[in-house]
Amino acid sequence: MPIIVQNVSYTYGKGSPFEKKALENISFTIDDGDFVALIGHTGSGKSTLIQLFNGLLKPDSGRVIVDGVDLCADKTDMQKVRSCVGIVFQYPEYQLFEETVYKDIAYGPANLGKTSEEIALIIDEVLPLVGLDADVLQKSPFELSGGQKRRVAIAGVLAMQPKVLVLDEPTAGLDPAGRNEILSCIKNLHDKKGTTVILVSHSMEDVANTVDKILVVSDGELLAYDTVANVFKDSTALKNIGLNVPQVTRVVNHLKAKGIDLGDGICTVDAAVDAIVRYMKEGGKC
Amino acid sequence: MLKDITLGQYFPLDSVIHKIDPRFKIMFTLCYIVLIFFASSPAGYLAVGIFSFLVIKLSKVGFKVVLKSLKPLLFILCFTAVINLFFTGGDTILWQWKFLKITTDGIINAANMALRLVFLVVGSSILTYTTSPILLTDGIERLLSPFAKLGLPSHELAMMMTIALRFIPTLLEETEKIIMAQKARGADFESGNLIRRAKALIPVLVPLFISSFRRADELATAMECRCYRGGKGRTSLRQLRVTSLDWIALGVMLIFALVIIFINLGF
Amino acid sequence: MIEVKDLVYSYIAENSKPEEILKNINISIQKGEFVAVLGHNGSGKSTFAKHLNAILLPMGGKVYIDGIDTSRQEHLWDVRSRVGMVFQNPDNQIVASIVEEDVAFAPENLSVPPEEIRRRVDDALETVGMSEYKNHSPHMLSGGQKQRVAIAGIIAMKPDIIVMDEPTAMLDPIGRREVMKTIEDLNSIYGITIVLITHNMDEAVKAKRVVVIDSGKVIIDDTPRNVFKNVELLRQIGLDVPQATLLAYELRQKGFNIRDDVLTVDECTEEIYKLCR
Repeated sequence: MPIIVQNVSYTYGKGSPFEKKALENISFTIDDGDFVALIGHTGSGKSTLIQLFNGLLKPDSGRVIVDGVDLCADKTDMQKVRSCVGIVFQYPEYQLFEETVYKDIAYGPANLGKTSEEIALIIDEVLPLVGLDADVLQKSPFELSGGQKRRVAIAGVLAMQPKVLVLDEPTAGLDPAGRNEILSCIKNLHDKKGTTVILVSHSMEDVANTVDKILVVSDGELLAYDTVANVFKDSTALKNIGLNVPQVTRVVNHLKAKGIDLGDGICTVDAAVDAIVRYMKEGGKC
Repeated sequence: MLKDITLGQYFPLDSVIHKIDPRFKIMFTLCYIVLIFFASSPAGYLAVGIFSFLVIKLSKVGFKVVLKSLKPLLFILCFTAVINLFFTGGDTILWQWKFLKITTDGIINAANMALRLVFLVVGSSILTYTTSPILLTDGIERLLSPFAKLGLPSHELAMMMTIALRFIPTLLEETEKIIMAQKARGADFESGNLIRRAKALIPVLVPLFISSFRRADELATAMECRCYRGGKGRTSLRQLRVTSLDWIALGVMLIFALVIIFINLGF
Repeated sequence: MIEVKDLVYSYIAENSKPEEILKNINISIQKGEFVAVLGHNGSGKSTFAKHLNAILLPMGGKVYIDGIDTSRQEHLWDVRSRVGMVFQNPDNQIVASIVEEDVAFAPENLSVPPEEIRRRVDDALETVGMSEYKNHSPHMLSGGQKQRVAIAGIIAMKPDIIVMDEPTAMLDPIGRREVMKTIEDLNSIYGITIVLITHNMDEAVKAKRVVVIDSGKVIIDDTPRNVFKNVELLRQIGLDVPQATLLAYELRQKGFNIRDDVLTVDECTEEIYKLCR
């Protein structure tokens, strides 16, 4: 079920003195099972874009089509769309509200009209996906640690069994261990369940380590939509819009400038190590 | 939507009205409100109208903004006017249908109430538009400080107001975020009867309360780190000094008051 | 100067055993130093920070600020005005709804005369580069700008030491850069002692000294160069190293002859260049 975004524009506070153009004529398609990162600095239109994916916002012009359903049409069943596209907002732990973890995770599916038996099955299924044990279910979400709370919140969205999962900076504020855990959960979800994942992130290193493709937005426009290697190839274009490339890519680029060409599209430490090993063997310089 | 409310907002402009000492301005506003209730004749309202017009003009805030401040009160305004229009007794009945009747007194009363309300809102809006919240709280604190001896916690009240003003926009923004997040989890705030709708708000209110408590806790620590220990011995960046402008403004205000009183007495 | 001696602190929750958060910490920090305190969430690094200006008091051991014992109630405000503290969430430290009024908050509390407050506020805003926003409302500013206002609010108190508790954790990359630049300037230009609590390796690299805390104990206390050499140890305790360091480390593991204390992109490039040439 692809997401098709066609010539979409969106303006905040239309007609008021605070009018602000957020998106301008954006078009792209995200295919089934894609793992896409959405990058751009604050105010680039990222947040607006993700809210379009499940109809929380409606574009001023253009169309958003999810799984063949036009989100802009009047008769569209929003409840159904929201079960298709799950959004995990920034700091999702701040939306927890129930007495127990179980009840909180059940909130989404209950809104979709699932029976309590169905919900019980769903919870059994999503809990391991986010790496939580069953013994947290009867605890209050507020007595958990920060990282656990976040995973409960993500489970709450997964419990709606979305085919597309959008995550807005899911690792913000976590320490390296917490960050790695969340990222591997997401990767796991994509690899094992085939969920389409759209990941908003500020960390180019994380992006390079996890996703396949990158959407770059700046000032409400789509600058690039390509594979990780191709997007990070052009480090000056990214720099111009206030973004960076991963540290290793910078090392590789600097080496290239000095006459040592390790090849294109090196964005992870492992890839760089391999490339250097290959270079040394082939070059036979040592 | 929540951000559209202009009532109580401050417009940082450079005008004579902005420069008047907040203590004077607060007293003037109180005085103005009392005078509105004195001016019960067309001539009186005309005088209040002209005075308000001049003050708005001088404040540089713009009429559009001032009119916008009336928008949220439109309902109350119409409601009061209608109630007064239909339910005022009187001798000259112009129109009647069962228990509803319109009398000349009714029309006058309705017009009176509506105009008073409008002027009331305009007057207090001008105060908040031209006085920064900080100065406003400063002004209130100083005006109330004589009562501190009687046990009135003037500094604490002012501090509470400052913090409330500071956090209102933050909490509004947060509310919108939580609503958005719960909507994404399939929450429905728009359909169903009153009880269902009220229940649907729990997933918004609980996180909002929890976050407010967390913020309060963090803010308290941050304030302690900045050596806050109550109002005792505190100094202030802004020294309120009475200038000749304030005396001139006081003069104008007195003239205005006299005009209203004269009109009211039937000159 | 900060002197921490045998500091012990436990968290006592209702109906459960006290949990030891800090176990016998000994650190001394000299005037003008720039120290990063590194540790994962829950390592006790924030609890440690709160001891430096008497928000928390030691349950065992002592903390001295310029020779003053923080647990002496009569010196409380003296300690707090010497040691400023900046927190993670800029929103929850700004008290007033106008930037300059907020910066004035601490000096007002310290009964500084109005003319002096004016001078301090202007200087502080100048230092963090926020002068042009002095009449703005904080909620209209970006995260990085808000955090700089919060820092200005602390500078206006004229502290010798500023403790920063994950000041960039909630900011975007641009905000992070702004705030890190401000912190570096405070140390190098204005000579303020900085204690930066963080779990971000790229920020810790900017300090002159890195103290690694794990489960309430100091496990390493050295220059960034020597600390980040310990790639395996750091990973074991849930921390990371900068990618440049990691690349050099991986190459060493493969048997290449490469320096073990690479920190920056430039150093890493230089090393690999030497290797491949």
